[in-house]
Amino acid sequence: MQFDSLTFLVFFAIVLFAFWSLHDWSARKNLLLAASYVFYAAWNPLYVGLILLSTLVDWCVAGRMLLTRSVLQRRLLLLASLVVNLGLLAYFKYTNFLLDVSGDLLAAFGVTYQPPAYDIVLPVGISFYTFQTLSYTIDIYRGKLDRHWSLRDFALFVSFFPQLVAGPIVRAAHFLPQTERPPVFSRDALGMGLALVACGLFMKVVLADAFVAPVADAVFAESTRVGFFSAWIGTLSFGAQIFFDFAGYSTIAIGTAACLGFNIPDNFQKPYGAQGFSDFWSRWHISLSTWFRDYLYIPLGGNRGTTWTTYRNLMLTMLVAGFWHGASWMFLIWGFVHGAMLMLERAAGLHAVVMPPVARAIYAFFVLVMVHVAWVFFRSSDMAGALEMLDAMTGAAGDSVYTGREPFALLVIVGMLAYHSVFRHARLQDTLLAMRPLPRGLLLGAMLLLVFLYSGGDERSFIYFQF
Amino acid sequence: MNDTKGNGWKQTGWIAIAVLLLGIAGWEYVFAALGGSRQPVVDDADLWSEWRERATKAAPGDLILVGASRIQLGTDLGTLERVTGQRVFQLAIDGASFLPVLGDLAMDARVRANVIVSVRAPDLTGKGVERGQQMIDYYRHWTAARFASPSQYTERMLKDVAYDFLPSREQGVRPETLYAFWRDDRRISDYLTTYATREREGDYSNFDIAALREFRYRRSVKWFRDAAQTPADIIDRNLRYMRAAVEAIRQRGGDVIFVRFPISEELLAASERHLPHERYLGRITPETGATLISFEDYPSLRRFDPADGSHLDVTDQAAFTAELAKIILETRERAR
Repeated sequence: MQFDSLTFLVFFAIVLFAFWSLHDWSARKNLLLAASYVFYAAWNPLYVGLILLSTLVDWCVAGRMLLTRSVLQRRLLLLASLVVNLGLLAYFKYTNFLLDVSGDLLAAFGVTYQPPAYDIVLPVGISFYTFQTLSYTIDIYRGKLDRHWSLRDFALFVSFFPQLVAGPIVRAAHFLPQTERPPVFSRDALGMGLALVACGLFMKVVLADAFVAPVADAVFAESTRVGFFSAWIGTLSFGAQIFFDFAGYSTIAIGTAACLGFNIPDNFQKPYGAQGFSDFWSRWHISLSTWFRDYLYIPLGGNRGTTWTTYRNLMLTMLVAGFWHGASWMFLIWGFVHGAMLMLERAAGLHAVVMPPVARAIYAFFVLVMVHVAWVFFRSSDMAGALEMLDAMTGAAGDSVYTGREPFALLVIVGMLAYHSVFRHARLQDTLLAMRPLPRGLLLGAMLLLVFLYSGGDERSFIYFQF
Repeated sequence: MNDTKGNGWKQTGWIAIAVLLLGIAGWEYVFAALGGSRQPVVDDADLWSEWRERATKAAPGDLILVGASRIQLGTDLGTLERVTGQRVFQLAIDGASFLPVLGDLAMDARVRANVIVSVRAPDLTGKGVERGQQMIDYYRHWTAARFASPSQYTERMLKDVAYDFLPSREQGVRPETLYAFWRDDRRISDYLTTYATREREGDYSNFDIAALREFRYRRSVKWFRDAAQTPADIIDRNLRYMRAAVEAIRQRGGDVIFVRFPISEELLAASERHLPHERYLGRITPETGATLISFEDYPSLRRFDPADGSHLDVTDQAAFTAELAKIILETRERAR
């Protein structure tokens, strides 16, 4: 079930009430575990087996690892965990892509091979929960975690419904200690949690879906070449859409968890206020970028080797990060662009901290432009479309696309960029806490009202209502 | 500390709830005052799936209607049944290409009826197939959908209850839309009425028809222009697909008749300019073997002028259907 659905509203209200009504901590955890599995089964009951498999394998592997001192055995156990989890991910997410690539490769050698097209449905959240379970086994292998939690608590960590479907990717070391002691009901925590849920819904339903997505969709769906202005407003709209959509979901996840007394780390921190590409990746999808930093970049050697190995590690990490987003060459190219920018930034020794203000502002603008250039590859369905869009963004002539929503989209984009730049260090939670109850209540009420006004229905018939 | 009163979350909560409830109440009041109301029948995937399932039980000779809004708004099912003496099943999908549904019916061995397909020149390019394919995918999991995705089922049920109290949400009326109506002192007209048979009527009497036709013309010309960019091999492929579908349906004793519903003279000229008859619609009969009843070839059909340039007004629906039905009967007679 989606966060912005009536089903989730009813589901969460029931779970929240039941959770705080129970006095026994074990009973509460059992409730959360059951609710999380119900939440996942609501998408498709059959795929509950996959998350259960991943949970059982990694819990058993972790348990065995803690019991053995043999380095070889520990390595084999870790390998088993990696094979099962990444194998599942590879099968569901990358099978058809890999088959297509193999067909293309064989064709390059003159071998005609038409790979079968399997109707494989991607289980919701598999990219997220497999990374979560892997963080447990890897941390135990490394000795970062030295105790084994109960199967129930571990299963709750893997399936915790606020962050199950779209993250943030929570580390075992962060979540599992929270299962040891029950949270005490706090009106503050509940209030903040609900406020974050309201903010997240506003970001997703109003800012992303209603204001900027239609403009982005119209520009990128255009089959003829678009003009300079349309290309830029379409790309900026997509940049805003993906931020508000993703950050909105993360904010709802964090808020929902807070209502239940659990703390989940922030996932976005004003990314479009970044003053460098490294800075961008410390602000965008933080849980994923830190996961790749800790479990791929650093094990590859990080920046501890030569300059060239550092560049290699940066590029490899970004390519894998790109591929994680989807089985398409376009995502790989998106990762490549970011990898190249990180390499160049490192090579040039660019650090915003030591730059004078004007240079820092210019560099921040450059980063913003390149991030959006990279979004073109992320959003386009093929290379030809992406190159055409980039061509238009550099001034090539084309048709203008006008949906009528451009003024709203521009307002959102400018507001977002200004907010990210000016308040780049402020957390949403701190901003909300600093407000007095009346303006905060009015703001949250207005946000929820806008969520109501921009939800529901199919406006197809209303196209005619302007007449 | 657990419960500091200093953060004022209780007051925040009450204020937010008050703003939300007052806002919703005011909004629904304005929506109702401007003439808005709940639709008696929602033409959703469930309704389509019900009729798709019924079409599998259609007898030989019955008629299954496929296409988009032109055939849905242009056909009076009662008149069609009366004149032809056959049952009619409406499977048109607003805004969708007919290709996926035609193919789906062709592959379904249970379908033995005749298929009447509303065709538009851009349909041959394959644009707009997604919506039809979504409906078909939904139908295929229609029974299982209640188990495969329980949340979809419960969401539909909850929305059905919610829309009784919040009718504006059923149609997704947005603030800027309602503001335009309020500013111009106009009433929301339920110009579309959908029935449980999936028949639709369009009442254009409240519209500024000239402005509407201009809007429809501009949108259609852009559509024609985009469609004309489609490579020729894709058109060829789609015509082969249509031929295969026609043959499959004929093998089971049914037939396929393509119908080009009326469009305005200016749209007809624009269509010819971008999608010439000999390269698009004119290829249907020689390359699929099926008959094309094109409105411009029949004075009895051409005399109808669609209200918005593309869709017939409800006042013309029955008369047009009667004329079309006679032509369909004549076509079936000649085919025997």
